[in-house]
Amino acid sequence: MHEHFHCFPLGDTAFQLAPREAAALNPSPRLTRALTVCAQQLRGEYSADILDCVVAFMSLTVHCRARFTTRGDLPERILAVFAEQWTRAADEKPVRLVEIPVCYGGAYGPDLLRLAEHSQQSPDSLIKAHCGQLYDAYAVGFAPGFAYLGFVPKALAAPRLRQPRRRVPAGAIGIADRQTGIYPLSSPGGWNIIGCTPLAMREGSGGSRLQVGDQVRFIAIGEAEFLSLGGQTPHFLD
Amino acid sequence: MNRCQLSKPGPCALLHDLGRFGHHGAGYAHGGPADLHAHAWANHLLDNDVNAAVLEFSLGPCELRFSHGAWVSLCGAAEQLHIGGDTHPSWQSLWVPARERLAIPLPRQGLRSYLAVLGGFQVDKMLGSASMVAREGSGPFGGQALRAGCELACLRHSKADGPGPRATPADFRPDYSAPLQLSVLPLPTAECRISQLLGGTWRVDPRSDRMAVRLKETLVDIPEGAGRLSSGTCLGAIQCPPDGRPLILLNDRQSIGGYPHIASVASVDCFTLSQRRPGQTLRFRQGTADEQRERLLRLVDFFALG
Repeated sequence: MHEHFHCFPLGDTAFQLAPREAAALNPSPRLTRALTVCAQQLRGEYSADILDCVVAFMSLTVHCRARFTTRGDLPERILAVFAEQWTRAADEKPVRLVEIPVCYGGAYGPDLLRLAEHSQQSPDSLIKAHCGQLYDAYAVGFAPGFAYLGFVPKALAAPRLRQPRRRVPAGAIGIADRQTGIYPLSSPGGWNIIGCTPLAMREGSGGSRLQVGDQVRFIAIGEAEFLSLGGQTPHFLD
Repeated sequence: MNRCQLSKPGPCALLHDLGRFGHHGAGYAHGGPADLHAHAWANHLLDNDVNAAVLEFSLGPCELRFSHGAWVSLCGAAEQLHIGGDTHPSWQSLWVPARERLAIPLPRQGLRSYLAVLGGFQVDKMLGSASMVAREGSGPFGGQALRAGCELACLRHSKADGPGPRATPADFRPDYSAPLQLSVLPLPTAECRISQLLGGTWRVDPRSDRMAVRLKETLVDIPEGAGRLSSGTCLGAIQCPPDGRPLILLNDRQSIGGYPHIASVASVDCFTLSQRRPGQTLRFRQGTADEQRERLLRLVDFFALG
């Protein structure tokens, strides 16, 4: 597997391990495990010099102290650790299943009707399709606690908005291409919003309800249940 | 305890040390000063720790007082400050007597000014840092810009404890109105040629903030974004959304992004970029990895940033 990857400078204080040709590979729970353990090992080995590791789908980004970037052999070292962990990651299974209640459409999902029309199906069948499968958490990022889940059926795939919204509320469930995810806090964003969950995605200081490697299932709920679970009427700003 | 009372915080006053590290994997932005150069000088003039918390003011006018006297230094956009009835140039250490008014006028150039106090502002840290990220609501004061009347704790010092009069040499004080040329490096994975960046003149869009500087002009050859999986970002990443208007990511950038990343601006150029106002013009030049790293290490070594 590692022969399909390269490691290159990202800006002047980071390196990225990523496929040479992204189109030739697919994300998988095994690849996620290999990248996650690779990140842990690198942080253990170079705890003073590696500031942060970010796993996302098929890539690992390693943020370093400026002085450490002058080490010429670092990209090779990252590749070598990845190669070792890919072999080890073959037999482990995902550990957690997390259920997320979602109120779909209307004021909760301003893009649901457009996506249903675009995919030539009724809003109800789009909702059934979105709830009808398990998703893998391939990345957490963009904002604290934002988990990127894959993958929605091809019919539900939709490109990001041409111009991001100025405000997407916390709990909004979005689709971007074949990814789906939950906005953990109100922020600008470019995903197509189909519904909202009343659950908080951030936990305590520095924590996240969803972690890379989790499995997720969405469950459709009505507005009354959304409000009884502590949800607040969402507020969008174009 | 010495208290700093902020009677006029201006449009956006935030505390920043060097930022939060070790939490990017859970999605927390690094934060830290948008203009690290001015921030580092402000601490350096007082012999502070490089990671001491400093006030970052956007524009102005701003006003504050200390319950007891304080050594301060102001670096960045504001060319001058008033202490009581006296006017002083910025970029130097100054003694502010107890309860005397310290006023920072609206700067003529640049956006952000950094006010350091001897020993740094004392706050309860979050994620090991005093930095505040408003978009996430994370950091001291819920990450939200400090309000009028807010009080910050500082260490108590006498005038004799100070570093004495020190100033940044004129050569190191940037002119934020000067034409800015940014060093860029294409990514090995970039789907479009960066020649179109290098040719033109670009203007800063008013919707720029600590997350990203947006540009007004549009790329002709817009890279295909559909079907892309998100991957890690970095300081200075030039992203191209489908509307073709490039974004240059700054300190409060998201840890992961899905828009095509076509090239990266040198970190040191991001610091001066963050001082450019909407409408100011920028140009890009092709840099090299060695040149970008050397310029960063010069700053890192001078201030012992590690």
